[in-house]
Amino acid sequence: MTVEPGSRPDPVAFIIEIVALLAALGVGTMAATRLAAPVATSPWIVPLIVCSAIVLVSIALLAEEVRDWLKKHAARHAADSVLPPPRSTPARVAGWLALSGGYGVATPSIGFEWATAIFLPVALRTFSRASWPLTIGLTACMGILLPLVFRYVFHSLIP
Amino acid sequence: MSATTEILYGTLAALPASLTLENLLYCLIGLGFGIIWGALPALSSTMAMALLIGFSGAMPVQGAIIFLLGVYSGSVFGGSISAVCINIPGTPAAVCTAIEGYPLFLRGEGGQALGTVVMSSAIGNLFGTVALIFSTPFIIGLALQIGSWEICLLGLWGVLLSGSISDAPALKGWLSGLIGLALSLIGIDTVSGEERLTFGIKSLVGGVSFVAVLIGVFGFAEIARGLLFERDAETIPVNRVKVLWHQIRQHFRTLLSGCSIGTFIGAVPAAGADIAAFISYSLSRRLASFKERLRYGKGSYRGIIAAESSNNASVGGSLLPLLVLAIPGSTVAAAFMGALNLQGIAMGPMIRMGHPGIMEFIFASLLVVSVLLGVMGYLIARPCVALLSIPRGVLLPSIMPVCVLGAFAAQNDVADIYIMLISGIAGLALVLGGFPLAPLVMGMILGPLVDQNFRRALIIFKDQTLMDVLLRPAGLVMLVVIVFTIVAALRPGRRTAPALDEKRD
Repeated sequence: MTVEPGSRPDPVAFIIEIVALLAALGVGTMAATRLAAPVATSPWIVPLIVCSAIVLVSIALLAEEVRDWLKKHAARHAADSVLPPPRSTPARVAGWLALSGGYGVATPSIGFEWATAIFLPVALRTFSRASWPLTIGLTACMGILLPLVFRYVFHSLIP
Repeated sequence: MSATTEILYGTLAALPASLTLENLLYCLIGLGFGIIWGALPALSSTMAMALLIGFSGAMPVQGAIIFLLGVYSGSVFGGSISAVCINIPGTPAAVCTAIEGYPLFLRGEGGQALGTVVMSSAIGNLFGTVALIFSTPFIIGLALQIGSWEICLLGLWGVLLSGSISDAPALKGWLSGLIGLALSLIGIDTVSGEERLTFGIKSLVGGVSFVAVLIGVFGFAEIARGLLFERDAETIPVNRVKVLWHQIRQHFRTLLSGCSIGTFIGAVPAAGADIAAFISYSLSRRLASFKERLRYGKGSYRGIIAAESSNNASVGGSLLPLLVLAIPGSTVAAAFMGALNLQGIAMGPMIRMGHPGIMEFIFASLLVVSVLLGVMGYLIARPCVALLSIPRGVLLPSIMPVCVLGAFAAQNDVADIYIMLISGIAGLALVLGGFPLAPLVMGMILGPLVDQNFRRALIIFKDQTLMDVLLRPAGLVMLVVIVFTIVAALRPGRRTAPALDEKRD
């Protein structure tokens, strides 16, 4: 793994590695306690091996993250050539996740057609400032036509 | 009658079934959809396959197979349209095409570049299919001779390799693959019948739905990434698509080597169309004459032919380990496997006995798809360029309803929508953290194979020493390959393909 002086430490990767490590430790411990003879037919042998591997790889990645961070820290002091941080869009990310997550959760409760009728106009107007005719046309297409195709062409159920 | 002749006759006998009006319609719809989907820069081949699995579940078996093969081949080709016209590869497999195609487009030779792409893709697809038909009996014979231990190692190698060859550090790829393996272990254990890792959640007893996770990571997460972190590109019209036959004739050897490389690389577990295209392109550049080499990077038809013939030939190649060993050659092939599983078709060396005629039908359908790809590609490549100007902000939110319906339709289970959402958010976090998603999918699809064969091997080798197990010839070869893969991936200064890096960034 190469280190680019001035690049920012990666908090998302760090969090993922910590979560993977803790989850693997938890599940691995559970698998080890449930492992009973004969080992070959025990359903817990493979989870134990996989969790052990996750623990090893996570530790190696965390060690690399720390080492890289220390190198970056030193490089930043040595040469004052820090690149500007990438344009962050936390509000947009949070907004999209809330909107799309809410759409998925609401679909089984209020029905696909109604959920789509609410989700798509909000998403299209917020994330692309699409014109109203386009917004209405797309919403009608996805909210009415798509379920019709699913129901009558594919004979499929709609949530 | 030899096995090869038998399969060849079977394929020819299955051709009329592939050519019925209904199946031709499914094929054309799949191809059209795949080409358009692949051409749109924000949408990948795997996303197309993932979202359409739900739809295909309601189709007749033959219709679903030919439809998905059309989507697969069409999307690999379609990625090159945006590569040539806006310098943004629609799929990673079109990166090298962008390097050579876009300069040609800027010189006013966009139509000729697209024509070369169409012909090279169709010939590559056809070559891969023919190679698939002729090599299947040999691989089946080999597969029937190897035991559970070797199959387990082969599955493990697939996961390791998919982590190693991604454009992220190998350790990150492996962690992603291991998470996929762990997810595949959730649910009722097929050997003992005991519940595993469900934590009392009833929806998880049947296991985590592969289709829902696939739609989550390649649908939801990719939509979010494209919408929030990427920018739109500007388009300009292209002239009439024109096939330059003299270029194809002049670079016939490059075409043949591209097809061969694509078929071979496609058959290697986890090494998909992008790796095939890159290797073929690099080799063609290295073997080019001095004069020809100067054209590389400035618009070389030879470079396009090498990349395109190879990435499309990998379609047939990737189906070889899938059909014979149940080990997909790429994430798109993994999605195809998920679709066949939904239809009740189990892959593996016994496929011809378990599902007589299906393998031959797949071969025949691929032949039909290859021929129609050339025709459809020629006809709709130019209109597709107009679609490239659709803003991401309009396109991507409009796909969300398809994600929700696709996740639900696979098993008609509301829980799959929630699994899709959770895996989508987790997938986005993984992408932002620099973790590749392909190993996760490979881990999930290969997990049951590794698990069951590992434990079967433990039972078989109960009374043998460790050395007896390790010194089994095929197993030993696989172990050496695995160790080599790990060492090669961890060696200092390892870099991924520079061109791929540049374009993917």
